[in-house]
Amino acid sequence: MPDTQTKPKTVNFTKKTKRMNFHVLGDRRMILVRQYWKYNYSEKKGASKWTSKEKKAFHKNIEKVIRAAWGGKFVLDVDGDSDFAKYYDKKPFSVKFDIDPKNSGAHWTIQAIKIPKGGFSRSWVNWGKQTIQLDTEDMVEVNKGGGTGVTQSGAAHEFGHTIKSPDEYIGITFHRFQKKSIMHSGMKIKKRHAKYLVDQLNKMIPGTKFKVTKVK
Amino acid sequence: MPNELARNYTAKADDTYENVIAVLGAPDVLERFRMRRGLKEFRIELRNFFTDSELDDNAPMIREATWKLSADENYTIWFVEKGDTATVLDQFRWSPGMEF
Repeated sequence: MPDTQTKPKTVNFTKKTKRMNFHVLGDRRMILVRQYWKYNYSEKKGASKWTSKEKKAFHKNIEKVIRAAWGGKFVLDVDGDSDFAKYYDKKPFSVKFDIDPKNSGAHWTIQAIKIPKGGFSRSWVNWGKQTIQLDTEDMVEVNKGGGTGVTQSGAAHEFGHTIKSPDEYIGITFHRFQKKSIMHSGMKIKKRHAKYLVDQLNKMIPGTKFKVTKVK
Repeated sequence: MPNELARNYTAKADDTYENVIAVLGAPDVLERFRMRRGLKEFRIELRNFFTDSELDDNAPMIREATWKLSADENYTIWFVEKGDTATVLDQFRWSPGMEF
């Protein structure tokens, strides 16, 4: 059945924030969330010095893990009285993520720690200071106490903090019982993990609201 | 202990819990847990101190003590319990703004 609604002149919108940029790409029915990361490197005892090849591979592998965990998972519907909302009614958008290294003007500063294979190092995100610490074992899924067969990659979990999803294994909400959640001890994405993204998107286009309808 | 002194203090490996609190005072938060393989990120570095077989067979109890030194700094020391004694295993200074 042909579209009765006229396609608006403008279907692409961009919003730059302190911690990430949002691109609404109407023609591709996609929301692209892009973060720029500035890397600092160090090694823990027992690990050899970073090589330039390892630094490149680290970023590539971290992005791969994050995209695999989070990319294309959120499906958003559009609602509202704007021409954009009327045109994209019942035409869902998917959310993709992109992380690019950048030396100046980055959103986040990353402390990348090289550790011995099979070792453990604490990773964290400080939202207020826009800093992240990750290590060379953070691409590996490990047991975080979520039960038999439940594992989690540090990089995928920490990325959730950069889109303002809190840890769910602490606190008083019922989320602390959902051990398979990526913000608890597993890798499962939930609708609530898109809350911050949707809040930001809903400030971008007047008369237009996005809503997560499902997680793929 | 005055916060300024606490900020410059570093617990020595194998120092006892009693010796540490004699210097720092009682911690603001104290937890105990049995050491195991599946640890959350905040505690994950403790895995470096034990082999898998040590964790499978009668794993030790850990005492986790945290002092809130300032609005921007917490100091956590982990002690491993052996019999009646608890000795320093690991330590970490961190900002309350960090999420693990």
